[in-house]
Amino acid sequence: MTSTMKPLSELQQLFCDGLRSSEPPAQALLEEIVDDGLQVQRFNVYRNNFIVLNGDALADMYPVIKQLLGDEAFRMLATAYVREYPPMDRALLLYGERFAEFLAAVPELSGLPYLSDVARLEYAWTAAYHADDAAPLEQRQIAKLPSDELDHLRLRPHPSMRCIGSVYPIYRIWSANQSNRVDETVSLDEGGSQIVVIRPKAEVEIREMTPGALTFLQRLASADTIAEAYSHAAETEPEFDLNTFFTRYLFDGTFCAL
Amino acid sequence: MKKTTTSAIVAGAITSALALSPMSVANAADTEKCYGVAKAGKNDCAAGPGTSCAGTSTVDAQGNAWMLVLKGTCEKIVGGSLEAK
Amino acid sequence: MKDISLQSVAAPVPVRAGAGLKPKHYQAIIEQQPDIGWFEIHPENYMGRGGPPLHYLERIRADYPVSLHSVGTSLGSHLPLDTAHLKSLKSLVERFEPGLVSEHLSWSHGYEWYTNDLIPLFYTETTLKLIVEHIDQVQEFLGRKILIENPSTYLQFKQNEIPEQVFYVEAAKRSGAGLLLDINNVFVSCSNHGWSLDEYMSAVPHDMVEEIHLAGHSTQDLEGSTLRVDDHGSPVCSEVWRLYENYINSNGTVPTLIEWDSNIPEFPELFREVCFAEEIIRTANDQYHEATV
Repeated sequence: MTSTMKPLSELQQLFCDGLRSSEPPAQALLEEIVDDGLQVQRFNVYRNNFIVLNGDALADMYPVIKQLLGDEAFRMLATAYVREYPPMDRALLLYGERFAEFLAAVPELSGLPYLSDVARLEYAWTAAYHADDAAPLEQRQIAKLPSDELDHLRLRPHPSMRCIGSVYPIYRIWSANQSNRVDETVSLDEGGSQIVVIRPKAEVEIREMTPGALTFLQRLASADTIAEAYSHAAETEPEFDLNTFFTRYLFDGTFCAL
Repeated sequence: MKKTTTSAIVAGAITSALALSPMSVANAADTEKCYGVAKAGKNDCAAGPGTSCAGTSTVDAQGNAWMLVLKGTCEKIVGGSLEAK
Repeated sequence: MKDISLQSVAAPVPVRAGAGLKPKHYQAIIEQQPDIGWFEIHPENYMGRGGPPLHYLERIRADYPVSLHSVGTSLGSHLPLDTAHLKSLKSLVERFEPGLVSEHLSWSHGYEWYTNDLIPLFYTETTLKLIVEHIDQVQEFLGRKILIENPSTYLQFKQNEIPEQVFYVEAAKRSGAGLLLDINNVFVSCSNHGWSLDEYMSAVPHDMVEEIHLAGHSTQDLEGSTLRVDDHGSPVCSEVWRLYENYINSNGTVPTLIEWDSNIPEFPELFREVCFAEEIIRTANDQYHEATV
């Protein structure tokens, strides 16, 4: 026994190496475990926990990816992801932030080029879900401002807002995979989507926007005035209609209180 | 001239938004709402369910074994390909 | 033994049955206001910046005492405690004023990454000193006493020199922490390692036990022998109910949590199990009163 007296640090690192590996556990680790002929099986309970518990966290965050790939393929990819990128944070709420990047780098998935963008959308959903709260902009705050100052106003989008652009119809792919509508088909020829993910009130909303509206929101988020953001939006999309946009979104929680 | 036009457009758009009752802006058609309670809450103190086999799979990101088991709704997407390229 | 002065908490956890709070039950709890003594949460699930989980917890906390049962502190790791995590924990303690705060006698970090699992230590005088130091640091940082929970384990290390129950009680004694006695974990570990249940249970001083956990576990075949796995995915088994009943009948009643973490049932089923525990507590209290009248 004295010959294998490893300090705790060494044992914990050996154990963690074993959790992450797909190879049989190292002899040096097995020697630390009480010998009843079942050391490998006993250790595998912990390896199973590591893979399954963290893989479940990924499955929670990426239900559409899971539906697109099927349970078995998703589980295999999740296992590879967990091994490559184990959680760095003790709270798992946002675990899986590199999954989109990971999927994009898997050569065998190159035939499904939209996957990575769908994953970005799903990550944005969870990030918005746990983002800061903010009081909404209200009519009375704007009503008291002189009308010649309105174009200099800087509107602050809700802190949960994430903007996503894709050359694939990921909004349609995402919405066709919301529980009860799995029979819908989507064609990649439908073109790209511009999406805003935001939690203006209690629930996260996924909104398909026109290119101009997306530009407008992105510019406002980077502290442009309304007039500046509007010129950029009109450049991106000459038909962008500020009237329609504001009647929909100015006071629905998309923007924070002044 | 351009400046004046923009100011007028902004002021006009805000005035229209102010004229609406707050209720009328809710429930727009192209908005998907998710009641996402089910996605929250990932840390717990239990062991993973199932047997000890999940962690022992030797399939990794370099293999392509999952291509053989792809059977999700990717099939519903026309133009995407399930074949590895 | 370290002196941690008695704090008065805003909403003490009552000597009743409580339930682990699960997101799928938020709505039912808010609507039905069930007669449950208290709820327990894993603080790590409320470490987001904002959003619905914190709002739901606030709503529920307005009607019930809560307890924070941490899983991420990694008390038994050779690595130093994580200050950022402790800060998040402290801000939840300040915001929700829990009746109890607890953590496990285990570790989760061998490197900077997080295993998201509760892994056993080997039990020696050296590791005892380490975990006592870490418990001290957490209590110091939070400015309050914590409880530590005995783990479910699936393997033992050759370096073990101290029986788990002795290590567990000693860690609490030396740090001034209280005990969270998980009776299912006692059953699982004793069964997995051939330890004596009686020896384990009788080593635990009742006056240090401030909370009890009960949960279900599963079994798997390990080349002819049974391995019990603490997956919290089924009702509490009859052996564990019997152990629990014996324990509180002979020692007195303690706040008792029903935990589910996988195959989580609909709320009515969870509620029935909580009521079952509550009934055992009530009967034990009645017997105690009869005996003292």
